[in-house]
Amino acid sequence: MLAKIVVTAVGLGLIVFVNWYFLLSRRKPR
Amino acid sequence: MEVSEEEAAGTSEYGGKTYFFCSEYCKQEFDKDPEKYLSPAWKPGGMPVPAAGAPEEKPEVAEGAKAPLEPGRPSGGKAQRIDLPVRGMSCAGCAANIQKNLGALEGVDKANVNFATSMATVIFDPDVVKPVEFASRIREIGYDVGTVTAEIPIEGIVCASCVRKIETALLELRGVVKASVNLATGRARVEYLPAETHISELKRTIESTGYKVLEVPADVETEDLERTMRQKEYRRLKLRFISGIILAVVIFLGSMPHWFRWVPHFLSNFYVLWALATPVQFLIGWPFLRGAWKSFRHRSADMNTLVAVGTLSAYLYSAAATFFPGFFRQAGVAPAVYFDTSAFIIALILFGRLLEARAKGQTSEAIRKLAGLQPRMARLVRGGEEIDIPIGEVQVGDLVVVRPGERVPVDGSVEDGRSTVDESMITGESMPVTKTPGSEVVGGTLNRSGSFRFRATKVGKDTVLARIIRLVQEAQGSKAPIQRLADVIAGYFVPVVISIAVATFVVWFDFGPAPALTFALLNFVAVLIIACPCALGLATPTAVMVGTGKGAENGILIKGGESLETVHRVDTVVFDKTGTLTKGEPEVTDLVALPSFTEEELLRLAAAAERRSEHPLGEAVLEKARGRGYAIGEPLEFQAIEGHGVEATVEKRKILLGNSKFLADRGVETGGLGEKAEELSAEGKTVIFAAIDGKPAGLVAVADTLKDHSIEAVAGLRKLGLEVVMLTGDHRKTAEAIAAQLGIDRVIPEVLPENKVREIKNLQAAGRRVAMVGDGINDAPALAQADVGIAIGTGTDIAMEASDITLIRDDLRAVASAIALSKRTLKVIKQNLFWAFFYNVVGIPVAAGVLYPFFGLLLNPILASAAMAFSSVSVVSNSLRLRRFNFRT
Repeated sequence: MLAKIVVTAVGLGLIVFVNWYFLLSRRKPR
Repeated sequence: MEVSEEEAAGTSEYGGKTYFFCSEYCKQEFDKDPEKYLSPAWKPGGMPVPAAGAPEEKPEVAEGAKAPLEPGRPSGGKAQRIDLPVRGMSCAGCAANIQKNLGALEGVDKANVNFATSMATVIFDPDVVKPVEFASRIREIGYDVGTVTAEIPIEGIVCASCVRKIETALLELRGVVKASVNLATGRARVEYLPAETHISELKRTIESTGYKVLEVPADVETEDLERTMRQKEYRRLKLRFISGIILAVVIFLGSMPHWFRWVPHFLSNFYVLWALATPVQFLIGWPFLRGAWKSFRHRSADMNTLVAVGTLSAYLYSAAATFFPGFFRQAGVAPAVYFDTSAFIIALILFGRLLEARAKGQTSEAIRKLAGLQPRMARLVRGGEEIDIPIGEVQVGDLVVVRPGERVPVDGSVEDGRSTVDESMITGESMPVTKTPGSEVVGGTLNRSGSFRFRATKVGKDTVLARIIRLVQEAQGSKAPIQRLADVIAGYFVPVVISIAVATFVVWFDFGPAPALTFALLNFVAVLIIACPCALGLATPTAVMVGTGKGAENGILIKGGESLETVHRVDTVVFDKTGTLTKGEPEVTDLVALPSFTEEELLRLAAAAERRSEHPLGEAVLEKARGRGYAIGEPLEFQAIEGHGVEATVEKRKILLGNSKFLADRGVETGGLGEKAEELSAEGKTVIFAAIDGKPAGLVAVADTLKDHSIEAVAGLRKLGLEVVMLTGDHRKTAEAIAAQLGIDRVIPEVLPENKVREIKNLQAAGRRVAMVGDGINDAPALAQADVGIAIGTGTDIAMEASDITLIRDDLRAVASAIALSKRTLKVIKQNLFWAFFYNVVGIPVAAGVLYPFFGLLLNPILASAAMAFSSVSVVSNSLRLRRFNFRT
């Protein structure tokens, strides 16, 4: 159970990070 | 800006010098703080010049910003300033118009357009608005921005995300107005303001995104360089692939001992598998890792990211299982390795790239073929001797010798000799053309039977061949508007895919059947691998390249992706009659002599009377008489009455030639000829009445004859479902008669040349998408007004400039071919985009395991990588189908 919670948390964190890092934090081209 | 004493709106004394100003405002500003404008640091409008000058009409920067702005520097806060050179302003009203339009853009604090210096100065917030938008707005309202365009070859562009990344980085640069990167050609086309940035800065920016700019030595032909580079890249790729696939197969055999019982046992050892997989991952797969890391640092993600994350996950998991099996056992999981997955993915993706590289080479075949037409040497006559010199040294005015079987080296005009020349490579016309002294020859064409000498008129970059190559290169590098959607999607694609993959992992781990970790890992990798935007990036450019290249081989030059896309929407084709549908040279078609005269007498005397006339009708009569071999006398007392006719004395006989009114004015009754004359007019012919010694003698009918393939061409267009319209200055009756011969239903007669544009506009206002076909020189404005301008029978710069499609051969059937080719190309683009999207839309959910609960169906990552390689190859192959386009449909 703990493993599942950890994996879920890490997964969500990764998704947030990826979208923030690649899409949101980048200055819009225009 | 220089202001003379007479023009000055105000003067001011400072430091013992007199300054003149163009406006009261400038004077006031100057008086407030003269030192500011006299210091060398203040540049915008130039420093006031003592006595002879005054401060430039000051760009109104001080008002909006707290401190005076230096060019190119942000002012205190965020505001930036840019100076754009504007072209095409004819009055101060234009300046005001541009100023208003720029000022209305969001994020623009202040815009000032100076008519005299042709400069637009804009103070703007770079976070809200980019200089690109200033340039496009200025262009939208009908002016132009003085920019320079550079073509930069780049190495290592592999997918649509790379394209987007480089374009975005370039557009971030100050002074870059437009940036478009072509995945298929591996080139960036950048339009920039030379005052704001420099080519070296552009190159630096491209390199900072992780790609390599290829340095082109000045003396190397770009074509040759690209080819060598492509071949080198291909060989390297092949080596990588071969070593990769060998190792991958060995690893695969070792990983499946229950399938391959004959495989030596030691190969199934985890450590051995690890030792085999490591070079595949880090040596052979190095380009993916390097590319991914570079993108990551640049806050972007592309297909390298997907491949790297996917294969690394499988590799690292397996390595952990190899070295720390105890950890897995403790967690209740049997240690398993997936080295075969990572190795196979790398090998298969390399295979895809290998095929893609080969196919990409084929798409630029047209340019290579054209460039190959250019001979390397030319034989000149110098000082009475024939010498061979390199083509680059031939100069205008040189006398060039061409022997049978040789190619014509440059453009020129035949001086002596006679031969037939095969011009099919330039015009697409398969029949050889006879060349005699005075004929024009085109560089790159093949001399067949005889030998001749010609005087070079165009050399180097000015030859027809060089211009065609340039045009085709530009066209192939251009981007079709339809591509933009794909580019935008590609920009968001990779992060979204990574998110889906992570979500897949979590869901399988949390809710999947045992062994959950294995399922989660494999599906995670499968999602990453199946979703690759490379097919998306190749869909449009490859089709545009093959389509425009195929056109060029057949004498159809299409200006670029945008033209291609507009052409396929055309529903109406407008022809200018004279010179397009007809030869533009009137010919005598009928001779009617009254009983008291013979036909010969009538024609001979009429021709003599017309001998000094410069009217095209007169020339037609003269030509006819010459053709029949008549001796034509000299006219005496020749007089031409503009718009009516001519009057002359030939062989002591008084000849009158002209319309019936002209003869009636001179007391000649033409009543008896009236009926015949009307009949001929109804056929679209121009009728000339003739009188000899005051008595009616007969009629000469003259008509502009149709070009050889006009009827066929019109029929071809109608077959494509297009409405054909004829535009002419003729009277309705004449026009309708000609239209009936051609099978055209709609005629717009009595159009003065200057009103052609208006007629096109009328059609457009009625909702038509109009293609205008004309000769490209007289019709340039109408060609430009039409949605698509098609210039025919020409290779001149003006025609190529004004038109979207240039048909080099004077054959109207090519109009239908060009439209059909455009339609076909667009169809291929749409198919490609559909498959590229469809493939991902279907592939990703399947890889994520959506079908598993219902059908127990999962996508093996190795299969996913094979499918991915296949997707790019299928898109490129689909584009290559255009090479088989049949031009005689």
